[in-house]
Amino acid sequence: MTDRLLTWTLGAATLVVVSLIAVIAVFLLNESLDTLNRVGLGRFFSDSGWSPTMGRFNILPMIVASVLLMAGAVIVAAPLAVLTAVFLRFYAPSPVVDTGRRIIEVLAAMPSVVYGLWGLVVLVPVIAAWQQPGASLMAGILVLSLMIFPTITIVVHSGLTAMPQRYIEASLALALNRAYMVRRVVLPAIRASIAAGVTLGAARAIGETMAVMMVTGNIVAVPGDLFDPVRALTSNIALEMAYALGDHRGALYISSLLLLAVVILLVLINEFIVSNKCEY
Amino acid sequence: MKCLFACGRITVLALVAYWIGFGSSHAGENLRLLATGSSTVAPVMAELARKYEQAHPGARIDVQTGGSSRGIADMINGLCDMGMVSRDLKPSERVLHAYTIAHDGIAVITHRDNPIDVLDRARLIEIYRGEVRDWGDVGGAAGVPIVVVNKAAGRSTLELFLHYLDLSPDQVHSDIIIGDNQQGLKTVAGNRSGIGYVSIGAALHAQQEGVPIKLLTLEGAEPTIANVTAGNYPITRPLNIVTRKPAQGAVSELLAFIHSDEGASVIESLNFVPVR
Amino acid sequence: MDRITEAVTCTQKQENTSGNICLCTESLCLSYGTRAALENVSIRIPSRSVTAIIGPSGSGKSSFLCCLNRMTDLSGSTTVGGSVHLGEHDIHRDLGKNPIALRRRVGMVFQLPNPFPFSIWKNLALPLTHHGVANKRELSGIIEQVLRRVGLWEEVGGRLRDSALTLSGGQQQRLCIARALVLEPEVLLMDEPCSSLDPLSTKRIETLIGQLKDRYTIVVVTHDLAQARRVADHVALFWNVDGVGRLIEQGSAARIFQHPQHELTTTYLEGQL
Ligand SMILES: Nc1ncnc2c1ncn2[C@@H]1O[C@H](COP(=O)(O)OP(=O)(O)OP(=O)(O)O)[C@@H](O)[C@H]1O
Ligand SMILES: [Mg+2]
Repeated sequence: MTDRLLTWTLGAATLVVVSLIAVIAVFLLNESLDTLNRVGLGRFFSDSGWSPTMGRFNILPMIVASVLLMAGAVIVAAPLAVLTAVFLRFYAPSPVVDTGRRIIEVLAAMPSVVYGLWGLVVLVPVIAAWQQPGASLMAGILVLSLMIFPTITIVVHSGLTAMPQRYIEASLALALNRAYMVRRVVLPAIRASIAAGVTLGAARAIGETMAVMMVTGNIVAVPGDLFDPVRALTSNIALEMAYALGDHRGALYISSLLLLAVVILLVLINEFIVSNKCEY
Repeated sequence: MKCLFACGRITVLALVAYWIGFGSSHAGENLRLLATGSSTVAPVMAELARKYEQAHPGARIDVQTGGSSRGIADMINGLCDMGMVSRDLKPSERVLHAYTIAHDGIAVITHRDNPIDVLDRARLIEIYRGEVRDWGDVGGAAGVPIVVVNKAAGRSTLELFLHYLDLSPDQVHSDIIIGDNQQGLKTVAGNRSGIGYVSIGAALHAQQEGVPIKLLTLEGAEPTIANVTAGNYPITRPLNIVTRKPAQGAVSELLAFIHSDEGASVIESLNFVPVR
Repeated sequence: MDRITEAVTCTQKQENTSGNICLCTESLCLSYGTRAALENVSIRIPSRSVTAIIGPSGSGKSSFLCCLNRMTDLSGSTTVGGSVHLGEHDIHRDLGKNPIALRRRVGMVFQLPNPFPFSIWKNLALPLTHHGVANKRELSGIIEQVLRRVGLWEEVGGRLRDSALTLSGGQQQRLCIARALVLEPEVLLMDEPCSSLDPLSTKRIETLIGQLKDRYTIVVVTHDLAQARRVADHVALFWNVDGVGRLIEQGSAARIFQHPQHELTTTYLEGQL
């Protein structure tokens, strides 16, 4: 009885979420369709630049920026997060574990504007003193990695806590030392959790708006190096949606659609990693 | 799961309360107004609203920013009760009614430690066109690159400033593009070689609070309230509240408050020039 | 209480068992936090034979086993007293810093099969690569050899890249035994290795134990007296006395089963028959 109830409520909840996503996707598609027909998909990648009020619609630099920001943040944050989680689970004395975990939970719950503000008043000037103009891809990556680090750490740490104790017993009984056990047994055994954490972090990174807008300089151009300013798709939407009309508005909806597609792709990749049970 | 239901229920309750309590606000004591638009007007509006709410318990005025264009667009789409616009209405926007609540100017700012105090218009044009890239070329420290901070498209501060320089957005070379005044102030305060432009009121206010910026003298006129009032400063603008229909009811009461002596003192305290 | 003291002295008298002594403990005590789990266990385990540890639930059999390869180090709150000797060495004093070296010599098989969630190959290769075998040919050789020894080669030799979790419970347990054997330990500790298996798998493992004892010293905890009769050369009975596990009697299987000296042994054997 309760099982049936649970099945139904969970089913209903899933349905609500899925249909919500579908509604959003349909809405975005609907808003984009006119523009897509009029302008054509190709021009979003081949126009000479982004100035939609003058009929130029190239969003490629912003796609590149968003992807670089996400990838950079994951590359910086994921290894640190995994190391931290492993440290908390296997190396830290128990008072450190408790406080550490609590601090990380607080960090994860912090509103992104706080990270953005910190980036703007602390990080960007530091980078500027070294490489002008300071507001840059680099600043964005660092702020984003700081933001997603606690998220990934929490997910991986939960994975470690949930991992069956018998893998650890088996490793110790096989005379593996702790470092080897972590590297060759524990991390492979929880790679689903790692994948989930990274996916969550990546999704948060590519969807982040305020913090990114505050520190990346928002210049629409493919960056030549880490210290060039960039504009993410999300920042562009936030900066321009308020006054955008006609095809300009349509173009912004198309960017939203693209973001949604990237997030769905991330989830699918995660699904693939998780379902791929056996190593080798 | 239970918790989810509980949360859901609370949300629904809140919504119902909102409809019952505030939906019919114009009739009763409970008054709720939404103002959206210019980030220059927003802090003034927020401060005025706070004072107004103190005098009128039950009144509630929400302020959201997003640029003057958003103020116009929201008003046209009926998404707000007042649009905040920090410029004159364009011909195409004349269907709306504008009420000037204050005057402001646009100040060119640099970091406090920048040795430059004065720039003329021709130099500014060269800087914003990207033709001059080194502070040494305009009388500052040689070898220090100029970091040009520009406003995002759709902001009236940008339109006014470029109008003053007689540049089109395409001609501008910028290193950093910012959204609102606060971001502009923090960006220039954090970069010794930056140059930007923001509302005079906002800049003076920030300076009073210790933000390390400097306001440059333009065409011999310092960016001060006195110069804006006297009409000596070259880039000035009205700060407007726009409505679709002529202001009535709660909005006209609020406007009356803004134009009162009390309202004027609030506006002055934020370094803008009140209209009476 | 008197009877217990008598039992202890009595077991101490039996130290002149035949053959070399591989493992022996002297007044071994173990407590989890402040709670004592084992007290005054002095046991002698002859090499290249099977010693069965029997006794009711909660009498400290698993705890005792864990003392022998220092799995007790796992939780921080355990304290061990007395001594354990492996051959000449005191495992705490001589091998103190390094339980790794000890565990290489003393392998362990658990009550529930615990293969890693990787392929069969990787389950067996992992401990080898850790201990310095990198050559692929050498690896394959050892893996085939241990799989043959546990009788798994015919069953899984063709699908070593499959996940170990796809094996049946009995196959998993034999895989775990094989995994313990790849490091060529001197001693193999087994904690109720058949309790989750069907009679056929149980029989396979018992046969396997019989074959392995030519090369290894085997200590097996079992609840199944019939099994103890079938596989054991020596038997030790543990009992929970006032909440603390004690060794009641030890000796050759034949003697314990035919002429138990202690009253508790008699009771236990009869109760189970
Ligand atoms: N990790 C531990 N922490 C605290 N107490 C423990 C721990 N492991 C075992 N004990 C306690 O030690 C005593 C002996 O337990 P042990 O598991 O050694 O018994 P056993 O003889 O193996 O029982 P069984 O036949 O049921 O497996 C029990 O009272 C148990 O509660
Ligand atoms: Mg046990």
